[in-house]
Amino acid sequence: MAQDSKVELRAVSRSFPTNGGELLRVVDDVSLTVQDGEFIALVGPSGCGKSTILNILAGFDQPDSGSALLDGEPVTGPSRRGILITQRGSVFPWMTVRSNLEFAARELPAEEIARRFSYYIDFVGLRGFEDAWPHQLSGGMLQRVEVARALMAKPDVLFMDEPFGALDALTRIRMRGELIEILARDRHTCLLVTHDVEEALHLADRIVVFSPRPASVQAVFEVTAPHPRSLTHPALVRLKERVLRELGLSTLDILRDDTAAAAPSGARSRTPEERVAPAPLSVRPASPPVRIGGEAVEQFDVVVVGGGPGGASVSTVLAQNGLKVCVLEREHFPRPHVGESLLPAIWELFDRLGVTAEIEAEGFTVKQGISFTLPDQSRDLQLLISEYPEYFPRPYTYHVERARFDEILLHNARDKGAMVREGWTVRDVLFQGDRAVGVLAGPNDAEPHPILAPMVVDATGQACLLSRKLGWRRPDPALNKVSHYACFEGGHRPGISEAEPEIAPGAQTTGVHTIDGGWIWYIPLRNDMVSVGAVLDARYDSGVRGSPQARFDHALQSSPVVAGWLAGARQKTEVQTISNISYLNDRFVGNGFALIGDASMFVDPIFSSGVTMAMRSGVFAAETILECARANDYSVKRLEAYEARIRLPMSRIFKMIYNWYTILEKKEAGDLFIRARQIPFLRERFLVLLSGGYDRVDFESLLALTGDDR
Amino acid sequence: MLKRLGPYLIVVLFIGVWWMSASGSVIFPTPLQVLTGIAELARQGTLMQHVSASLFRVSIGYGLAVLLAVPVGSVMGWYPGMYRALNPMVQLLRPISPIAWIPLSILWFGVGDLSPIFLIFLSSFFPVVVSTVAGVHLVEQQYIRAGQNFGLSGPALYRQVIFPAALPSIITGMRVALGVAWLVVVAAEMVAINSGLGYLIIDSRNAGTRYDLVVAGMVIIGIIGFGLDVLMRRLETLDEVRWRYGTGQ
Repeated sequence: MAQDSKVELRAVSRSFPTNGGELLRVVDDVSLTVQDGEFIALVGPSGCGKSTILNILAGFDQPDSGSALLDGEPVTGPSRRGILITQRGSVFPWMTVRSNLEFAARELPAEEIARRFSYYIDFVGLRGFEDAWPHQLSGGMLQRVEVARALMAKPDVLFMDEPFGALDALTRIRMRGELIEILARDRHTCLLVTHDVEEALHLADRIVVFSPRPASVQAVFEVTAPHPRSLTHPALVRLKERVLRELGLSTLDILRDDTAAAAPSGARSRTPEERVAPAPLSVRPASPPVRIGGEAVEQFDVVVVGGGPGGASVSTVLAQNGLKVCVLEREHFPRPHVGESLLPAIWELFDRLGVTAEIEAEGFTVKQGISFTLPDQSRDLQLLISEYPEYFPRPYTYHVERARFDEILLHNARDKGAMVREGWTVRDVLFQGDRAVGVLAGPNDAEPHPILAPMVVDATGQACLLSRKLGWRRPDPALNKVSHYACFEGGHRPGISEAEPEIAPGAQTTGVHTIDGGWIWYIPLRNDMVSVGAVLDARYDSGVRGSPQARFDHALQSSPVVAGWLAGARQKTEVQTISNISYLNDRFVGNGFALIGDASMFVDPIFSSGVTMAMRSGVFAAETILECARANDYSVKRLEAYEARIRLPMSRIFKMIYNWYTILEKKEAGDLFIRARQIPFLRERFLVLLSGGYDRVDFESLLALTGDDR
Repeated sequence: MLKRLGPYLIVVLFIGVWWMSASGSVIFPTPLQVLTGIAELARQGTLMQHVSASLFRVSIGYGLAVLLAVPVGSVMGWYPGMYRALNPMVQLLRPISPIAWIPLSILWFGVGDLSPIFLIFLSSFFPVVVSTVAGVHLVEQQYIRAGQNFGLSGPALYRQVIFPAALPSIITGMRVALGVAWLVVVAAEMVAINSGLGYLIIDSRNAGTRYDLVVAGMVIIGIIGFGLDVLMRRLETLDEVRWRYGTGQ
């Protein structure tokens, strides 16, 4: 028998009995030849039988028909010649790292064991952890022990079944890189089962795509790109799309030109007859090798994903300072959006973006302060910024229609030199190792292509593109709220109470009215419109029956004040319902990327901090990115300066919001609110805080002053 | 502060209440009387005699039970056929209180040491068998596969993978069994023998209604039982088995 193949499957089929007693075929006539030193990735829909194939090769399972060969000899059972690594981890927890590794080579002479141990413990970077117990190690370290133990046995083949599947996204990417390094130094024949096409592209010499169960070879792709590979390379991006398409996961048409030429062997559309008939598959040579070619790839200094207030702010400042910025926004502005209340702290941001004059000329409704109707409903608390005019450039701010406001900001970014693309979808952020290197994006209905940049800013708002991808999103179940909101025409405009002068004709306050289970916002806008929304505890809301409209009405009726104000008004929009669960993500920065605005954290709307804080985080991020650009170093180390700066005010807002809901729950005004009515300096600090002066007043000391320090 | 002192405060409170309620009674002893009782027993040397007699019986009966139960449990856990064959018998015998065996054990073994040792053996055997079976059943497939992958099979696979993987469960069973054994030795000594802590208690009542010595015996039993449990818990903190119990302890 010819010895030219290391591993071979010959027409292997396997069925398992189901609960109903029938036979379920999971592997159907699979033939595969793997050369010595080759790295093969097996991809396919989950549950398609890839793992069964690996188990058969590793000797843990026997085929019903056909045979599995290792070095030309049939595999009869598990042996050290082929070690299987799975995501479940099989490092023995009752042994130290050292014993685990030594175990794998235990039948060798002592000096050989010691030699290999010393070599492989360095190899996987676990020197210093030799005598640690597995329960003391992280998931990534454990997986390295797993690999090192396998290598200690010097197996002919490594079988890896989703080896990094249980790790978080960044560790997974790092482990991939380490595996490549290990294999570069210590070449092994590898078979990798994965559902992660990027992982396959990153590691494998050949990618075998399996059909849905029963698994049969559907297509084979060769990956000829040299290591280290950049997944952003157009050829690899295209190859990825082709693999995804084989898996039925791509709807893109980017293969238009070369589909015919690149039609993989074992074409998808096999008839049932062809499927049943044994179709011995010559896997090599398979599809034509993908050539890394010199196509022009767009390149920017910074790519900003999302064109809301945060994205517009960061790109404006960067463009003003001469960086080449590209903003990708899914919608075409103006898009419909809720009416919202700003904070006086926003003026310095407007100045910074050079948009003050334009905003002032727009004629938004002037907001002079806030009025709270407290739980006892008896008296309210009106806090006007004009009482302490020296804190902010202007003693007022605005109630804005977000559709128009966001449009002004994004157009301003364009005017200041940013490349703004509306109607563009970002499909993914591209990583090289743990470093973001660009995005995969295109016009909404067109094929995406890579856009490269050493710095990617995630301003996707609650979509949380990166934090979801990386598993950094941390919702706070204690602040799980639901909002129902709508716009009304002809609602009462309460204006400013007579004790204080109006700062401008028609000036208003943002109304906050407490009700059972939450509170209501009442924001008068231009053209006799009012934005009204009820923020309710999610548990409370789920206890109320009926449609969103019914639940919204129920909330409005529970505030006599609001119900009275809206008595003659017409509801102009349908009730929108959104989940308002607060979250504060684990981290805001990584190598080559930063999260700003709602993409980094989202807080309850109670203190109207959303837009102002998103813009502020955009400006802060831009300042740090400018420093990175000067040093040409976008590493996490430098970007952390931004995170440290924005976390402080954000944590203050979180504390304020906790305090607010404590007050609501206890249905009493709370010392802070009562005393703010009476004690001037307390009132002053409270007002500054509510106006967005989070860096000017220390909330902790304010609470300490009121004895409200819980 | 309160957290650390809390347990001690409860003990002090308990003794206080006991003291107050007992000080009017003629028969029921106060804590002080119990203490003097213990001192008296210690002085006479009978205390050590009874304690070591009880401990001796427990060590033999319990030791034999563990030595036999672990292999039996392992075989039952590993071979489904053995499990099917033996498990009904185990489940049938297990609920019978060892106390119920006292008449039969006196019939078979007389009133010497053998009788309580047999009872202790019975009481410890089943918990260890059951926990060993469970431990073997719970060994994760991936460990067994890794063992086979690295060339283990048969007894070597048992020794290097199955036993260490099941050990945490076995130790838990051993801890439960030792507690039961300590309960049973006292009961057995009350009827079938003339030494040991159980005998001390029943003898103090029968020969002169010395309730101070009755309670003294109870206190000693409590303290030793507590000490045995502490020792067994120590076993659970060994690095070889700690992975199973979680590391937060």
